[in-house]
Amino acid sequence: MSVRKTVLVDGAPRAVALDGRSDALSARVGDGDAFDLAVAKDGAMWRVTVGGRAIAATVVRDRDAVWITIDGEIHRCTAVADDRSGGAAGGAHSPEVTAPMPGKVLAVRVEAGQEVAAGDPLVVLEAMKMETIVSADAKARVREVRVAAGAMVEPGQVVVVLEYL
Amino acid sequence: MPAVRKVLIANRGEIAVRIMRTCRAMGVATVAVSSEADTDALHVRLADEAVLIGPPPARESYLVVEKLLDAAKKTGADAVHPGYGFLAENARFAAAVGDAGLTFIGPPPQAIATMGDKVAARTLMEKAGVPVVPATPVLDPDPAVFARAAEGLGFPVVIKAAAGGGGKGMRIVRRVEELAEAVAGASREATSAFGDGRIYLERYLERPRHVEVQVFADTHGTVVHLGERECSIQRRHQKIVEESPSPAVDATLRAAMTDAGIRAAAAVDYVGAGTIEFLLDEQGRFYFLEMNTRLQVEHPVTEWITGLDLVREQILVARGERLSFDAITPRGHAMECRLYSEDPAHGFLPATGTVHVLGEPSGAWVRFDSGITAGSRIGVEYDPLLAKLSTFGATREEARTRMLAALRETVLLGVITNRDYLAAVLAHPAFASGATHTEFLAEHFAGWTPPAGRHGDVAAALAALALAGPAARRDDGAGAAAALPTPWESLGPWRPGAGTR
Repeated sequence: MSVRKTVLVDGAPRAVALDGRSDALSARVGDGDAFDLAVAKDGAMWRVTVGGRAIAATVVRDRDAVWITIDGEIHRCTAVADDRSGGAAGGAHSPEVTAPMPGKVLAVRVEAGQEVAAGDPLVVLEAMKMETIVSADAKARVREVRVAAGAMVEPGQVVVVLEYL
Repeated sequence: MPAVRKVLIANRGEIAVRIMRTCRAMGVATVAVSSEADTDALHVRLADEAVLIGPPPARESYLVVEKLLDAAKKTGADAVHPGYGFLAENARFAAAVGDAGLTFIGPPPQAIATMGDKVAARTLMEKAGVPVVPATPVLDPDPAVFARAAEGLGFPVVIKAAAGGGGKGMRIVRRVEELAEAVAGASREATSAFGDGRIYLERYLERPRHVEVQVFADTHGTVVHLGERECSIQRRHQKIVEESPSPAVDATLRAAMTDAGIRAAAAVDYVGAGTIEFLLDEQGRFYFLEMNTRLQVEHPVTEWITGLDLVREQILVARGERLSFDAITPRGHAMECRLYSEDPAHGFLPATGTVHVLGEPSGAWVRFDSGITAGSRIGVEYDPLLAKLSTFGATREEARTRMLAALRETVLLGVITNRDYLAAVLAHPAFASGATHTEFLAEHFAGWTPPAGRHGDVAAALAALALAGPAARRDDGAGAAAALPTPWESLGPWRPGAGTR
């Protein structure tokens, strides 16, 4: 097999190239040196051999994330969509304003058509007794409000759509 | 004398589990309460009986006094342990438990009420000879008045709003020339934030340490201390690392602080386990902050150095018996780390998910108090504390290095935690040297990002393999074990916001 994939490891993008069979792979990560990698899987327990040295890893998949523990380290890895170099939808300066954390919508501070300035609160979220205000990052008009007070949101879920002015 | 044969634990998570373990060791029956979110939780599984008390939001379950009292009545419990948080420092709850003919495993309602009122507590502490941060009454917003008062207190000072909270109306002033503008600004801000422009002056403590004294009192007039704990490592005023003894407290200071702690407890006719929190400044002066009228989260470090079981002592006191000791002989050094489901690289935002793998640390002088198991769902409803890891050693350095090793063994897959952040704190030279204060994290750990690790590249390669599509797996040719088992695939593809409008 031949795999070319950009993986976010704990939030940091790494370009991975894998060639060969899983019991005899040549791996290259970023601009580092290529290394030999062999993997034998037994459920979530993977026996990994790197450069001739055997290490046990536990690998579990949860929705879009792969969690790996190896030699006491924990890494949370997610795929970066092949057609994009950046992170998930929304994020910095995007008209699609997303929830930064899972939680409950305490209040919606704007309505469609309203003009907002940078820093104006759009939505107030609450999780684990902590309040977080999601605010506009630039002057804009609110095109759409996608949540209502009382709703539960997932991280990355679009809560408000803006139209920058 | 109240018997305390069957205890309802009005709490959840690690503290409910921890209390049940002591009850079981004492032959006391346990009743768990749970919300609909917790029906499979560890504290429910460990209890002799469990009562479902309502929907997930705490205000509809764990905080509803009538439901808790009904559960106690229904199960024949004769005592209630509140744990910490929820209703633990609610004087009306303590009184309602007593009125229902049950024993409240905690202090008398009056002590809770007095210490819960910051102004009343401060006044009482001053009367009892416990040092409080020097402050003025409300002053005229006149720079000259403030200047005179500031000279009296000594710079730096902080202007505070009488109606204050949340830092609004606060101004730190280091020199007399800055006062005029600060007084005007603080007054204006207080008026707009609270509709009340009254301000006063308090001595500002630079980089104080948070040091607290554990006290215990029984109903026979005995009030004792169990040494101090230092809890300076805090993020957003929440402790994440605690230890005992404090690296900043010597025998003389300890004698003074523990004396003050005992005076504070005696002044409110305290009964049971309590903690007097102090701020300790760089000159070794300490000031009363508040009293927590309950068992603290960080009580295990005290248990390590004293060899006592504080929940057992609480139950003895609730039965009207004497404390099992009259003075302690502390030994060694203990540390505790709080494992939270939160993301330290992103403003400590709460993290949720399912605990797929849980590796619990163990070994000599290692203790893991947890409320979770593999399979636990971590939701948004409750406090993000997952577990407490504590270690003991003959010296501070031994406890610290043992903690680092134990953190490495603490493996939780499926939910982002602060584990690596805790390890970075413990490994920091300033922490190792004992130079801890409440601004420690802001000073040393702003902008922290997770370490790449020694195996980051291997992890990236393994993740690419795990994420490779079925086509890549099909043409792998390496045999039967190629497919990654994904029990969660049955949940279907994940879409942000699926299930909400």
